[in-house]
Amino acid sequence: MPDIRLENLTKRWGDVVAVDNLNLTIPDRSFTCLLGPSGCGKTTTLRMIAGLEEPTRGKISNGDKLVFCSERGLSLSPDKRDVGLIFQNYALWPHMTVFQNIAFGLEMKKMSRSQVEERVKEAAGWMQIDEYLQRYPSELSGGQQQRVALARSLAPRPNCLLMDEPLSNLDAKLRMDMRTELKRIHAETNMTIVYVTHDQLEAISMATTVVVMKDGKLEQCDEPLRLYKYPNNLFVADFVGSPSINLLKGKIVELRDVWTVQCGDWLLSLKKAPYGDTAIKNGHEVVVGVRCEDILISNPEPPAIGMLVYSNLPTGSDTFVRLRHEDISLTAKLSEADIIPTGSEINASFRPERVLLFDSKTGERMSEGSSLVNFSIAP
Amino acid sequence: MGLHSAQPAAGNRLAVLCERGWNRSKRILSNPPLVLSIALLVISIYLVIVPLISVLISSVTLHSRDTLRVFGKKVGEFTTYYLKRVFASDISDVLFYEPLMNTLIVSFLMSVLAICIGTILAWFVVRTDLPFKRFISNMAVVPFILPSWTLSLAWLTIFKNRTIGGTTGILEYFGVQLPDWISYGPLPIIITMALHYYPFTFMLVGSAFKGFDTRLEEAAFVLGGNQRTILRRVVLPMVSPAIASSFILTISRGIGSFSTPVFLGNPINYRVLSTRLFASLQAGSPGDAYVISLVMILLAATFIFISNRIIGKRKSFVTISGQAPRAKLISLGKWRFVASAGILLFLFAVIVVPLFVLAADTFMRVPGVYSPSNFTLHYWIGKSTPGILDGRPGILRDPDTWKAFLNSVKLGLSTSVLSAIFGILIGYTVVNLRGTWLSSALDQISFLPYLIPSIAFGAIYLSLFAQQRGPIPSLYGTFMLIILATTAKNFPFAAKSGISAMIQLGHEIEEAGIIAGASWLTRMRRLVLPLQRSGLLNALILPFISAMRELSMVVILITPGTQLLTTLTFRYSDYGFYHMSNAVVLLLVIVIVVMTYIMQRITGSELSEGLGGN
Ligand SMILES: Nc1ncnc2c1ncn2[C@@H]1O[C@H](COP(=O)(O)OP(=O)(O)OP(=O)(O)O)[C@@H](O)[C@H]1O
Ligand SMILES: [Mg+2]
Repeated sequence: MPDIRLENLTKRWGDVVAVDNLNLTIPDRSFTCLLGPSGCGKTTTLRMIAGLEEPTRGKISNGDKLVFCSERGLSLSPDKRDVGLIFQNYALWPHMTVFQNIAFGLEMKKMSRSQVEERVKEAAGWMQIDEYLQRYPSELSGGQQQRVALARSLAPRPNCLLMDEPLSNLDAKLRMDMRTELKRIHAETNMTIVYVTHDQLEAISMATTVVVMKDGKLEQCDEPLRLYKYPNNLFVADFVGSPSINLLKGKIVELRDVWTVQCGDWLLSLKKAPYGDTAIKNGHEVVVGVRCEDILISNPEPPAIGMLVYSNLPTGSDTFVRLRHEDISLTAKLSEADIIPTGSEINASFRPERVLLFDSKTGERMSEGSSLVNFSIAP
Repeated sequence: MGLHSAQPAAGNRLAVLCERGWNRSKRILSNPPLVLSIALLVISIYLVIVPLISVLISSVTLHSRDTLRVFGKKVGEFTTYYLKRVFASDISDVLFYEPLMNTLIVSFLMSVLAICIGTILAWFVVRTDLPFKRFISNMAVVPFILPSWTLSLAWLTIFKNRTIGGTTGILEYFGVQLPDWISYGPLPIIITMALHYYPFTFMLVGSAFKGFDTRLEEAAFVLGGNQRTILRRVVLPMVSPAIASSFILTISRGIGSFSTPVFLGNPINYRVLSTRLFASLQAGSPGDAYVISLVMILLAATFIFISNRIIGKRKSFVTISGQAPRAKLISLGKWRFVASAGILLFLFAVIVVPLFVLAADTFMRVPGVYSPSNFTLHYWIGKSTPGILDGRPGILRDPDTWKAFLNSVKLGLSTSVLSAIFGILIGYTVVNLRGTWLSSALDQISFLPYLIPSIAFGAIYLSLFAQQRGPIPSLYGTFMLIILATTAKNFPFAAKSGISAMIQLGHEIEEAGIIAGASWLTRMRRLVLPLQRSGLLNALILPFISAMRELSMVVILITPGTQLLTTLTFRYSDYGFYHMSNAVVLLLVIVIVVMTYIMQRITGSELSEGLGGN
């Protein structure tokens, strides 16, 4: 029930608008990722939820509980918001042992000694750091410190755990381990987790809800797969996915039950009309977007068109193939480690219902995924 | 939801406004950093801004003793009498223009000399393969640790002639007739002050030499310059910003310097602004003294303003060169031992010789006679003997010494504790409230005392606290006043170290505590303060040392009941009791050196910042 709700949330520092009129609901027990490029206001949003930063304007509520409201000058102090926070640099207290670090928050809750000890043991067991309880943070590796920081936040059993790029200081392998660990924690506890990252892969693979931000504004808030399949606009389409989505500039040349878009000398006819199509006329500038795994090159069903293989980039499990036709270039993904000789000619097609159409002026998506019905070269 | 509550009815709107105001003020009052910063602001306004305004007012209002000279005005009324007297009257030359010229000449030449010495030493230590580097770089900063007038007293002990009577220096004893210009006045002032201040340059230019990209130097070498051309065309231009900023720091210190001119200038009535100011106060003309204080503040502030501009530039300069690879040192070849010997000889002459001469002097009945019969411990432990020094006992037997010693320690301890507390609190609030006007106001007000020469600072405090003002009683003659003044003078250093310590600590350490639900006091006690321990020690010991050797400021505020070791030296030398003042200085030097040693051991830092390398 207690969803965290942000309404018209704005944070300004002088002329800098770090967060701009953000409206967002973080579902209860979700694993929500705040995703966006550097400086887009993720940390600021997180700190406002925690109560470490006072919003310039807006409202934050946690279920029925009003946590912050600029209109009424109301602001609950962080300890009354029932949140845990994990800092990017962990912020362990260097003069305390691991035990003391974990116990501190429990002592502040006026728990008895035996209760404190029990909870510390429990949290340490969870994070598998039992053996280090008597060490100081400086005597631990980065990964171990990360676990201590997690245990410290988990021990008081907050209702919501906020994390600010917690894995960015770890190496790739440790990061994989910790991701698994975090998902396990999320599954085993009833916590809502809000997780800040600028790594889209991390967001897609861990979250139940992904929130994409840019320049302090909300771009899209959706389930990870929907976000990947149906990005709301060009920014999200381009930001999410690796390698990034193939984008082709074009314009609409024919408007009937089938739309024809011209990109270079290609004529792409797309089924399934875009929604909200009232203002669209012939000559409207659009951008066609296709994910690389949606480009089919091994014996595709027609309609298909010939392209040249320009280069191969095998990764071991799959191969990225760069295709060319005149000025158009596309990246396709082959799910096997096959290599198509460079320079060979192949036929390419697009997976049905996966072709996205964006308005080139506003950047907004104009359709659910369309299917290609005809592929030809302009006369 | 929420959105539809945005347009409440008129009555409702008022209620919302009231509620907002009420909730906000409740939050502000329960926000400790904010409350603390307001308290600190009040304190620093009271200890820094009010005195500054007071000196402005004092220089344009009539003082009681001048009521007979300015007709028709009562005490406290506005008058331009003092401004006229100082800037445009028959006595302006004596009162102002001559001392101003002397001040400018002395501090300019002194700075040039100090820069030369400092730069040359820094170059040898950082850029060449000089032997005994580490020892040299540690010793080179010693003159700065010693009280600045140690060298003046040593100078007098060697070069004093018979002009002003009393015992003469060692040279005269051996029959060398010394003209006044060697014994007193600008020449010895310039030399002894330069020898005190050159470590400034040594440290600043040294780190510039260390920081710059020596690849440029190598490039010049490859292009075929000889060593001297490279030095002149490549190296000097690279460190010139550091040289310029140390020049300005030195000269602004020189302008405010009091003790050296008082020992070496006063005997022949050679006055600089600081000694003139002191004389005016002693002669009972505070109005003149305050006008002179204002001029000194303006001069020093101007120089520091310029220096900040230059240092600002220097920073960007250093970042451009970035992390230079450890460069090849310039080989001095067969000259390296000669250079090393020369430098060691120099350091011997400016550190060991003066201290030895002072020490020897205190053991000799008659200066310069090196025979066992002339040896005496009288000045240290002798009983009171009528006819010798007005019947004063040796300093270790004299209760006055011990009283002054205790006072000095008391001053040192209370100043350092107060400065450390102030520094930490300022650091905490300034960093915590960063971006608010409160934070920058605190930051800047606590920097102000840096612009005010010590002697002017003393004069300001005298003007402010000499009489009762409102609820605050007259503090003149109390030890409290001396503690307050010394502490306030320490604000810039305390604030600077407090702020950098807090920045280093980072805000997350405390925020993690906030999230954990710790109250402000708990956070301070268990998270912030324990992590400031080493910074705290640093913040305690440096003010202790500087309070122990402080003379220029306290000399105005001191009364017989509140004598310090420093002012005792000053008084003895005023009386012509040079043996005694030398002995007291030695006592002071011992305390300071011991304290500095302890500090360096505890904090593991060195004043010379490891310029000599490892
Ligand atoms: N204390 C502050 N004062 C002024 N501006 C700030 C402050 N903190 C953040 N900003 C600005 O607000 C904007 C958002 O900052 P924020 O730290 O929230 O970004 P972020 O999305 O977390 O970026 P990153 O991924 O680099 O951590 C930035 O432009 C930043 O410069
Ligand atoms: Mg961030």
